[in-house]
Amino acid sequence: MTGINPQMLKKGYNYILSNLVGIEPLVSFRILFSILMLISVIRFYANGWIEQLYLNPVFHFKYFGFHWVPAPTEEGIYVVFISMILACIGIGLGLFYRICTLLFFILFTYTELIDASNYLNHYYFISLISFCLIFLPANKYFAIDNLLFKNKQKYIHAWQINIIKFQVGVLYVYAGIAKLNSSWIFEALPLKIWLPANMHLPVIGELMTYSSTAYLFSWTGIIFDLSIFFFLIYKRTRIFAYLAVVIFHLLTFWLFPIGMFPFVMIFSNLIFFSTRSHARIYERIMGRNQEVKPTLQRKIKLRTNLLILSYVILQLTFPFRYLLYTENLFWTEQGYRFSWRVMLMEKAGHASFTVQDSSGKLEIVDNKEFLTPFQEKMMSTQADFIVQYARMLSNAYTKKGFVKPEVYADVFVSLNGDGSKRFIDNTIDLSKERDTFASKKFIINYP
Amino acid sequence: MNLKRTIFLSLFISLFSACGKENFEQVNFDRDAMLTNYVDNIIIPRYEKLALNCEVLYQASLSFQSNTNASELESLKEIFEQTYLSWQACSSTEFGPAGIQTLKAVFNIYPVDTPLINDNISSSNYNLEAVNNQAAIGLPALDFLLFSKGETTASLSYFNNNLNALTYLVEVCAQLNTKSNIVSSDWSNQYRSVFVNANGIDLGSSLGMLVNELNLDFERFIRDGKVGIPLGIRSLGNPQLNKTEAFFSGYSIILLKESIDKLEDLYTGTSINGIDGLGLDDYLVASNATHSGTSLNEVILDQFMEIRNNINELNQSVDYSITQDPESASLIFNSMQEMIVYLKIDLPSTLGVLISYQDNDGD
Repeated sequence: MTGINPQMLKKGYNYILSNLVGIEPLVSFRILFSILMLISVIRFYANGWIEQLYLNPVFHFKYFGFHWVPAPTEEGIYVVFISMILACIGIGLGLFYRICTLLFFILFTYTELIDASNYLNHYYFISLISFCLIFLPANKYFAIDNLLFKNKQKYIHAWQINIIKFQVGVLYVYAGIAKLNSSWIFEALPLKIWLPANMHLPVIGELMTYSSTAYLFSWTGIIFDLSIFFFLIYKRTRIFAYLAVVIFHLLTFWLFPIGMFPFVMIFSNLIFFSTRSHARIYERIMGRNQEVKPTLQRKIKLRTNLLILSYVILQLTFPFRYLLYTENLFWTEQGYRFSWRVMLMEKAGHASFTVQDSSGKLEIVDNKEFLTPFQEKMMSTQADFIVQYARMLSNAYTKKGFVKPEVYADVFVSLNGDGSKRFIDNTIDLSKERDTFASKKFIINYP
Repeated sequence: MNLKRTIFLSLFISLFSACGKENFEQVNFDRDAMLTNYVDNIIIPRYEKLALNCEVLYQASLSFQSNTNASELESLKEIFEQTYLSWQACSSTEFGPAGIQTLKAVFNIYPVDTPLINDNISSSNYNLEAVNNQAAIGLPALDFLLFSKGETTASLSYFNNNLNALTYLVEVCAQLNTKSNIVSSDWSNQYRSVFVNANGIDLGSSLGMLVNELNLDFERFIRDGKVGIPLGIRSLGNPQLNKTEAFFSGYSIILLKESIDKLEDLYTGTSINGIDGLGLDDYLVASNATHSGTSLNEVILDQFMEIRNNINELNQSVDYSITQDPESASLIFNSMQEMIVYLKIDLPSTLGVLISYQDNDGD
């Protein structure tokens, strides 16, 4: 700590948080983000996923602490999606920006909370970013709000751009850290399983069948994830890093069914480019503006400082909560979500439930009666869903006239193509278990 | 340049490690050739055979209508059995044209709704295409009409005294004939190239659909439908004998055997003439798939054997066996349960068939 003096700390603080910087990168981000979200929401509807994921299921899996989130009605969910479309347009145009960002954040997050089996890191990222946008002045320039409220402003505090860079950086670096495990590094798993499946692709198909390719991809992936953020913030490497971003994400888009995520990342990363490069675009559209003097105070409110600090600390620590569990993370998935673990394992499972009446009589559950194929697939490898489902079964069978039904599960899971193994202790009545943060004792340890 | 160095370094290290390790280990498999084998030597011939049998069945029903006698009844029953057997070969590929025609719902929804059939016959006012008639048509309806009225004399007198029933019988056969013809010709004409060209791994790919439908059929219609439900797995362990397939003719055991044989042929890529071509088994071998240290393919083949051995313990019919020896029937169910784990978990997850219904970030 000898090299650090208060002077340097002050300088660092100013640089990262309180210096006044041009607003343009944030404005570009606002516009691109809104366009991508607009496409995503429409694509979601066009793919029939509103019906498939929200209306068809008779039962929804929930996140811990969010069991109260109600399932939507048919009219309700369409109102939600239409409102999201309007909110996207508002954000893009910079029209009633604050209301639109707030609306988008709430509605988008609501659609994620309806059913936890739909969880994707990508959706979590969008929730976080839209949360941040509520507090960022991205409508102070190149926005209709400027005409309505005369709120044009060309300079903002550095943190108002850096918070997004930070969030993008967390995504990459934590995704890289998550890859630092022996299966990924030494066995090239799961890529060794996934890549050969792409043998039908032109040009690179043949290449995908070699295990060396899987190693190459695995290791490049780690290095990319761990380093790209730093190459993006460093001016001299930025353009090359961005090129790598584009190639990397297009490649993943080509090889895996990961939807809009690659494009969200490709466009989000433009925020790393300098104010100058962004400003040029606006000058071309609006003509060269006379320089506007910063009108903003440099000082940031204490309250804002504390909010930023707590957000940053939460983002940095939450993904490490898995350390509180001693069992194999990939097997139990305790502390797995919300931690940027993307494309890390190949997992498949099959779960068969037996409900036992107090008289000792048995029935084997037809999962299709209660779950969609997609929900069934997600449930059969994730212990919290298994418990939620078992409790629901207990209620459903009580209604069918069972007396004190007990629920047992034969669950087999294969991790990284390693052969199916029993996942849940089939002697434990799961209807008595609860889905909590406590370690789940009914999971059989990974052998 | 830092980035360049990084990339070169990673390239170098990975290539080096891979070379040193296993000499460019490669998954050497021609998936296109497998798909071609599936469509040309298995799927299309199976539907053609079904369509051919249905044609003969329909003609036999017409002959029986015009000459309602013992010999016509006998040949009708004979071709009924052949058709039911050839259906077992088609049950696991309910996608493409078969999916569009919902062939399973036309051919084999059981238990059959006997009061509904009787109502239809006496009222003469019915639409066999209607969804609410699904349990009154297909092979189970023929099973009821041909086998539930007693011996030959009783059957003949039933039809002779009930011309509506004869008409109904013919119309059921006609429907099977039409539908199987559409599916068979659509497979050979339009869908063949679609199947061969969808050579990826996503849900809409041919491999994805093949694996998915094979599993769906095995789990829901073979394990549960043919064995589990009659055994009472959905009814507190109380056997539901009348929910057995081909309940009236008592063909349930040969049909069950046939469905397992045909499922295994589908898995191994064995043609309708018994020639073993490229199939999922070869794909697993090429992918070095293992289970508990042994070859996954061996494990699956052994399990097919186990299921077959358990079926051989049954006698007469599935429902009869359940009343006489429920233990044996349970053994079949359990050995099928074990197989599902291999076919539904191990097989797709070692082939990297991402059977995903929407976006995925890989867990």
